[in-house]
Amino acid sequence: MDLALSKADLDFRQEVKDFLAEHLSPELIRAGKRTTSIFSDFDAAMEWQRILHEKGWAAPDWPQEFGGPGWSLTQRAIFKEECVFANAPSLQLSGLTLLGPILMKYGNAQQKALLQKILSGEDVWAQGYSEPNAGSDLASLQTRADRQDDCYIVNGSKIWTSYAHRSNKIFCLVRTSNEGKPQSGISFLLMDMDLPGISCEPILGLDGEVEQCQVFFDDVRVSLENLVGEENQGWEIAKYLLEFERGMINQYPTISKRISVVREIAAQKKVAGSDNLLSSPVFAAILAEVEIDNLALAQMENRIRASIGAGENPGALASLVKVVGTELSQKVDELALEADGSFIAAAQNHALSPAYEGAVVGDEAGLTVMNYYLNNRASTIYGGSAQVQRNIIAKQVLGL
Amino acid sequence: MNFNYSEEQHLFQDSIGKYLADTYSFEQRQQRLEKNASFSADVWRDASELGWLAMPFPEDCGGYGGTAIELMLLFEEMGKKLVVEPFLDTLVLGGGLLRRLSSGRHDECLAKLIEGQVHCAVAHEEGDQAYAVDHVTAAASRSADGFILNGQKSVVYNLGAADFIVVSAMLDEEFSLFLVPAHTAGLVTQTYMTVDDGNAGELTLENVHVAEDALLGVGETAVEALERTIDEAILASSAEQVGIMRSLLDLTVDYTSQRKQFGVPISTFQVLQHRMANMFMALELTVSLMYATAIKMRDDSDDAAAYVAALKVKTDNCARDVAHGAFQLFGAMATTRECSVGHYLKRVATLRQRFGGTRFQLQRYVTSSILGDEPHH
Repeated sequence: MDLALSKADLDFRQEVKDFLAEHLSPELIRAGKRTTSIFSDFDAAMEWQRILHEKGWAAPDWPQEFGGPGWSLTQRAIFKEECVFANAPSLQLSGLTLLGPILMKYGNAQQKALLQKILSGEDVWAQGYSEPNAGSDLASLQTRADRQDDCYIVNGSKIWTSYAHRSNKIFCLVRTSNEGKPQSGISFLLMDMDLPGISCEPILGLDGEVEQCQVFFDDVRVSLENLVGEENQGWEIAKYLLEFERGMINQYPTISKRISVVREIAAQKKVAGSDNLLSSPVFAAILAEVEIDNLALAQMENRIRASIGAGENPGALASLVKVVGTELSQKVDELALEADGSFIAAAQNHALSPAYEGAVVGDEAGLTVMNYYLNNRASTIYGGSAQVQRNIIAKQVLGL
Repeated sequence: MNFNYSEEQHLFQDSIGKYLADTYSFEQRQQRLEKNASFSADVWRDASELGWLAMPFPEDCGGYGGTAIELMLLFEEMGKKLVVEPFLDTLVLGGGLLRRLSSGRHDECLAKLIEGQVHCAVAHEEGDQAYAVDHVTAAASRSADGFILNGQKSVVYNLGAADFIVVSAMLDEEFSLFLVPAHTAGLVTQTYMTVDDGNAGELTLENVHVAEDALLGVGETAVEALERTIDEAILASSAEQVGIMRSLLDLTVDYTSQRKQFGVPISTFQVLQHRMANMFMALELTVSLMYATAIKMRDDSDDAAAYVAALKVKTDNCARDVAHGAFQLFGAMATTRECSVGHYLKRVATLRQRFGGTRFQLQRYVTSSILGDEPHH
């Protein structure tokens, strides 16, 4: 057993730190600091991706043969930590982390060529999985792709497609057969967003901003070459992605960052009987418990990475980390609300733009607190809800 | 023991419920907010005509002599519909302070308030300063014909609509309250929308000259009036959150019974049923403590203040859990602006932070007289 990083890893951390210090402009840092969900300001995210791509760092998880840096799991974790701590904007991840690995494994030569455009940011992909009546029960999806000569004719609707309104491409799970189990009639299809018959309707979120969309397909003609893998292989492909996602278990940095925001705000807050809220015994005790939870999460993530590094399959431990991490992050949000106090009530969306340099109501550090809280309530819903993840643990680990 | 409403109280509750059923569906609420970008003057006028504004005031100043029970009842109904009009600020806080401290000098203002013609804001909290009800950093000094006020107030609810502002300040090191007309020279306001669809603002007082009769109260008188007024506001906001919890539980039971996944309504899954059972238990416990607190306030019991502190803590925690439960079970739908669940959640989040926040009231309970006592009967 050993917790220490190697000399090479420590040198790598310094290299990343230096790069970030040199390339993160004040505006990009503002975009990072003012992020109120898993998505940063879109333009800032694309600008940052362009800068990372020049260095070859846009896709930390990709192997070198597809244009990635070929980093170890430890290096990827270090890179994410440093990016989060330096307030780098979050990248648009649908192409980089969801579609990329699928094209590497299942794509034909022509489809693999799309990888370069994902890296460069030329193509921005939306993920078309969920439907109004297919959420947790994804396999019941009904968007149809009917074969007609050299085309599929696609009809139906996808919902909760993040940033579809800013994407030029979409990858979808579609129904190509009604025979057998629902899972066995699903295919994986790529489309341009500007195809005739595709329309996109932005969904106004609770914080008044648009991140999600509903996408409608009305007799959309998609040529057969856009099928990834075999017809009716879509479910297997989507499940492969879940396997891949297990290599990206890393919630600790973001939670740490949010805890540091709580500390920053609480240190400014005067309370009776203590120097400030941060040093008041009751608040300090609750914050300490949250930090301890985060330490345990960090070491859980380290163990999983180590086991993947040793060639093992962590299985449903990915579900454990998803539930624990998202629920912990929501607890941190509540502490942030408490620290910021009355100021959370002020609606200040205008001040969340990276370009905004004017005055704000309350502490600058508190600017994100309310919207982050609202948006992060979704973290226990998307990507497999907390209930579904617990079902997976009960079934796959405990054999119930 | 009796936890039932009287016949008059039932009638009052029914009339509120009926009015809101006609005018305050979630769609009507959203349409009005979109059109006006603020609360509705029509609803305020109706509230005056229906007697809601007169209810909490004694009969000798034009009120109906309602007690804490009627106040609770009114706010519970309004909470169900997520009413955005500033009843808490104009009626309970502004009206409560005027009622207690007017002593004849500001009866005209109080009469106008009951008639629905003026709005109030109470400017007491000061941002990052420690919250207290007997101390602030804003300062008042005497002038030839009155007082001069200086200071900085934060997140003053209803500041954008207020005709009168009650300002707390230290006068010769004594806590004091002043009634300041909103257009007095030297008041600098920066107003904004709040996330729960109300309005608030930052208020700077720069050598604000006010007349002699602007002084509402000083020392113990002022502190006690503010404490009691805020306690009423805590009862009112707890009742509002009880209304919110009732609506959220109804909405959630309804939604999960209709929403189908895996071929069945999702309400058939035990893990969802348990979450809704927890929401129900949280609601009923809050209701129980709220009734007892309202009775203690009505009867002016010695331990009323401790009950109020307890009520705020219990309500804040239960309402948060109920709102989070509803949000989780509605799933992605709850993240949208067109779904009411998230709007209830926002209101719960902002009410939690008011009056010093949950933790201030927890601390107040710790130092209260009833901590460690045998259970009360």
